[in-house]
Amino acid sequence: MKRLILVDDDPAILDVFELIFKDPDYIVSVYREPDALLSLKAGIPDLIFIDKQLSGTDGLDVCRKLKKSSLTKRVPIIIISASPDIQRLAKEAGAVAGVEKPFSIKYLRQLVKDTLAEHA
Amino acid sequence: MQGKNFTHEPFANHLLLSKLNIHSSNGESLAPPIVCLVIRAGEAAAATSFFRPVLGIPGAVYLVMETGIALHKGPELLRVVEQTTLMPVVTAEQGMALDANQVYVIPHGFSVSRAGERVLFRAEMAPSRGDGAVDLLLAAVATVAPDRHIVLLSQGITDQVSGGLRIVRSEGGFVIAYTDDDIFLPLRPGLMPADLVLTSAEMAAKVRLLVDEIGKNQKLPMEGAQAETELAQIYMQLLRNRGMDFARRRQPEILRRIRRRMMIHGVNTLAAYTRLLEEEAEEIALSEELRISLTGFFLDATLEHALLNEVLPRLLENHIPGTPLRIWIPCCCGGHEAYALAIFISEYIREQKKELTAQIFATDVNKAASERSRIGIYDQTDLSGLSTRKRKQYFTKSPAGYHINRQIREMCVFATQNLFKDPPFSNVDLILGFSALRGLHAESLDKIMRTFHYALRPVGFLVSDDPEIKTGLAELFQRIRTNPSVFMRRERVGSTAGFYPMTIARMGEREADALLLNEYVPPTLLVDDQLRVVRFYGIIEPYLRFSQDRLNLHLLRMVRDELVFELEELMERSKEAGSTVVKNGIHLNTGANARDISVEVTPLRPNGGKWKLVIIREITGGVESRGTGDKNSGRTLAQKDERIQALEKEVGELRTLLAAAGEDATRIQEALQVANEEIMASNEELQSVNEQLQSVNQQLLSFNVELNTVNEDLSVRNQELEVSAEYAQSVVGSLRRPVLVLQDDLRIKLANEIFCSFFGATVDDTQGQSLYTVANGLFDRDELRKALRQMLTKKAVSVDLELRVELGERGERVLAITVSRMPKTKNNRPGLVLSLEDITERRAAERFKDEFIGIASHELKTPATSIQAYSQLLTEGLTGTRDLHSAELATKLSNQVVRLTRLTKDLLDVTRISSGQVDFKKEKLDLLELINEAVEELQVTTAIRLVITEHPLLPHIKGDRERLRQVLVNLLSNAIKYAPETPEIIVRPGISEDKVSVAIQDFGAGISTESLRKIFDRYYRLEDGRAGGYPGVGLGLYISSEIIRYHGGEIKVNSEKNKGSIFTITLPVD
Repeated sequence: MKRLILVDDDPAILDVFELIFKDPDYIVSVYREPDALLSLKAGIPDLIFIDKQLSGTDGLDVCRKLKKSSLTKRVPIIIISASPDIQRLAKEAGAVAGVEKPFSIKYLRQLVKDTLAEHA
Repeated sequence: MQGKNFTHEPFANHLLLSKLNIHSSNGESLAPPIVCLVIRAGEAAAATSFFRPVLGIPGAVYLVMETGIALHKGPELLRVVEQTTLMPVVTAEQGMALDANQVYVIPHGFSVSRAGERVLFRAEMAPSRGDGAVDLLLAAVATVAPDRHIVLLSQGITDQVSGGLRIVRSEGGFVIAYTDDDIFLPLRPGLMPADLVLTSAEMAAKVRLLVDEIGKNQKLPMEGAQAETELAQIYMQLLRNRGMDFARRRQPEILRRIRRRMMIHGVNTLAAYTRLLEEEAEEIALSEELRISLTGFFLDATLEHALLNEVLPRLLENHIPGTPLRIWIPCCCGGHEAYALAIFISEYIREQKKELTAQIFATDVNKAASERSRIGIYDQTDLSGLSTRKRKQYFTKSPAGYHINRQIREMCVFATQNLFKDPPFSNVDLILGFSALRGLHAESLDKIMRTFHYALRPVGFLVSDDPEIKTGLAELFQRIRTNPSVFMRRERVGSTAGFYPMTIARMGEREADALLLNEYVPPTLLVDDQLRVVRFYGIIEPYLRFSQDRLNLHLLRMVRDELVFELEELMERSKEAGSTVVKNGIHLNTGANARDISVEVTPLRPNGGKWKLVIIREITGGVESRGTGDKNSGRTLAQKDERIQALEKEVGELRTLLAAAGEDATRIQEALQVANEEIMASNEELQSVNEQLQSVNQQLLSFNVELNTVNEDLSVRNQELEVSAEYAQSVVGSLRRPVLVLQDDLRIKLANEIFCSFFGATVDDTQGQSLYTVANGLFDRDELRKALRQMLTKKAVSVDLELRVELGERGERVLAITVSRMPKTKNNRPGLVLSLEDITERRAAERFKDEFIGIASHELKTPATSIQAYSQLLTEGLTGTRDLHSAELATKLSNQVVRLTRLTKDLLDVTRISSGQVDFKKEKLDLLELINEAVEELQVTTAIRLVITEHPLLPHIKGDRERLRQVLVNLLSNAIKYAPETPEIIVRPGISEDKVSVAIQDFGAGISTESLRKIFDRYYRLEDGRAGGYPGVGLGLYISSEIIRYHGGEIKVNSEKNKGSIFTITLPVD
């Protein structure tokens, strides 16, 4: 049972995420703002998804902050964005991957599986 | 006759030819060549046998004539010639026309003259003048048919007709002498009177060639660069070896002469002739020929030197005051030499400031030449070589040509004279014997030298330009210098009686004739109807006197004073009686020569008694013997003697009176004649001046008319120019954007109103201002300077650039500037045209559009992501259920969402690329790896086989992996999409120099030429016949080409309709 957290300000994406990972192996928590994550109210998950373009803040900044915190720096983070350059930007910010919107659900599931296996 | 025509059929054709006349290749009617056969008198039978082959050559006119004293019987020669040839033979008659392929036997005294296109025979003089007659005929033939006549001579007669031959050769004729001797030793080359000395067979062959060549009338093969070079070589050779500079002389005449030499040798090209010139003999021959033919109004410098230093001072020293200097130029031809000398002498006299006059006797055997010289009109080419000063001073120009001035003309007396036959001048100071002494055999030379010796005063000079001439008569002349040779007359001890050696025979018969005529015939004169002496016989000297001032052949002016009266009376009597009259007992009482003579005058029958023979017989002792038998007383006898003496005295006085009166009358008549001639000449001059004035007037009138026309033309042009200038200005003015016209120094030539109002300037301000100072130096920008420099150095045809300028209240504006070049025209310097456009708003709109599309596509992506996920989830959920319909719909939904997202992605790419927002990575890449990945990715989507050909390993490149992969995918998916019918798609990696490439080839429908041009444009979509066309918005190839461009590479397409397309990418190696 792995715990996944997604931060995105778009409710449809949050909804879709829950549906994609509606699986006995995963527990998905979705947040519209990064505060809960940063304040650790949401706890420490196994994998974090952050949308780059959050209302009022940049997902990459959130990622960097998380990577600075000793508690969360080992948690793999994947950035989601509409930008084609996200792969590079994500890695620069310390994330394990960047996923360009739109993505195929198969790809996303495989990515999650692989990432979790690597960071087990 | 019948047999003749029958057996010699070919000849009939020749006759026909003659009737058809002869035409040159260009259709111009040509007179046939004239061939003169000159035969020694009495040798007709022998001569015709060796001339026989010649008389069968078609295409020419043949004249046969005899030299010598008229010994032949006309019909006899005719008969002999008729037996020799198959051509028709006739005796020439007055007015008969010359025709080709016809032989004419010429009686003595006949000449030819031109009448329009035809040449006619003309009876010229009494049939007894022998050699002179042949000279005359040859001269006439040469004059009517220059360059188109050939003279053939019997052996050893060249000297007898040398006067005629000289004219033949100067008129471009050919002289061939016959010899029966195979081993002929030529005389000095070039000085021979004949061009060639040939045997009978050789002669026929040569004549045939010459007649052919003349008949063709071909142009001289002497034009073009090669000929020029060869001619220059010839001139150089003549200058080097013979010291003669022909390069600046009359070219046409030189070419004509070279051509003549070429024809003599039968060569057709200058090159061949140049080889012949390697022989010294030919070189001498050519230079002599050129020297003889190139007469002009100048004396050779060496001659002038000799005259100034050797001759004239001595002449002046010995000159008898009050008498003219007498100079004789025999064989003067065109008179150039005479006039040149006259000019020279008159200038000399002026310089020496002497009271002196000079008279120049210029004689020639050719009557026409003498007449031409007397008229003294020459053309431009004759005057070449004459200084401008002399031309102005001594010639007057008129429509007819250049007239020699009267003063010079009057110094010269021109007369017709045969040096060998006619009596010479006397008391001459100087003889210029150039032409006369050239090309003679020793004997003839001897004869002429004797004549000259006779003619000269005791201190007299003979000048010849032939440096090698030998007089052979040391007792006659003393050589005082060479080149030119100057001889001084020597007083001869025991001189012979003959005053000029007119009949020294060369051999046998002729010698006998001469001997008899000189020694045994009584002194005899043959006179014509005008009482002019035609010929002398015997020792006539004691009965003649010589005129001091001019040549006069009139009988009564030639004989001694005592005979004048007697002869006059005898002539009268003989005319009345029509038969021989005699007067005895005429007493001549001049010193030692005192004697009694009888004079007999006999009218000659052939001329109706008009010509007369005057025979003088000396009476020795007849009167005395008659007296001894008389028995009358001595007183009566003494009285008679006294009476006789008184009467004789009286008669003598009367005679003197009469003679004086007669002389006076003659002198007055002559003076009148001279005055008359002068008046005539003045009249002619006035007339020509009048004509000149008239023609000048007409010229002025026509100039005026022309000027008017030109003026009108100019004003029309001016108007046209104004109109077109106005038009051009209004075109520029009406343009709705600012336009500047610049000169090549970047000063403003023209600024239109829009420009001025846009930049707040006036038209006058801008005019002539530098582009960089106008509008407060707004245009003084580096990028513009660079662009204009490129334009002015012609590195660019036109330049487009954008400038951001600060325009006061209007703020920053973006100006698009197009610079184009104005070509240089006849009237305009090259310039530049600057066309400006304010594109601030357009640029802003574009930016807004890009931003809008960027944001829009970005924002679209998020909902698209959820839709795609939902549809995929739906598909997943329905997979394996029975609700097939819903599953199908879910799949379709997925596909459409994929399409929508790709479209959004493309739009975003385009926006980013065109606004330069793309960050390309620069990483080391293996293109093959990318190719494999792309092929694998797409192979799963299609049934078409994707084939990668065999290839070498490719070096690494530097670039953005994702972007390059995007390009490959784009090209492959295009091939799949647009060529669905292709069985396979071939991917061909390659390498060349420092580039790697990959070509993607399909075998589909191909792309039309028109589409090929636009295929990489933004939003361009291929159209084809199928409904709805291809899906897509036409951005894929644009994006691909931009990506490749950013990588410094190239993308190209080749396509052929119905055969497929090849897209090739080339990228630089890292």
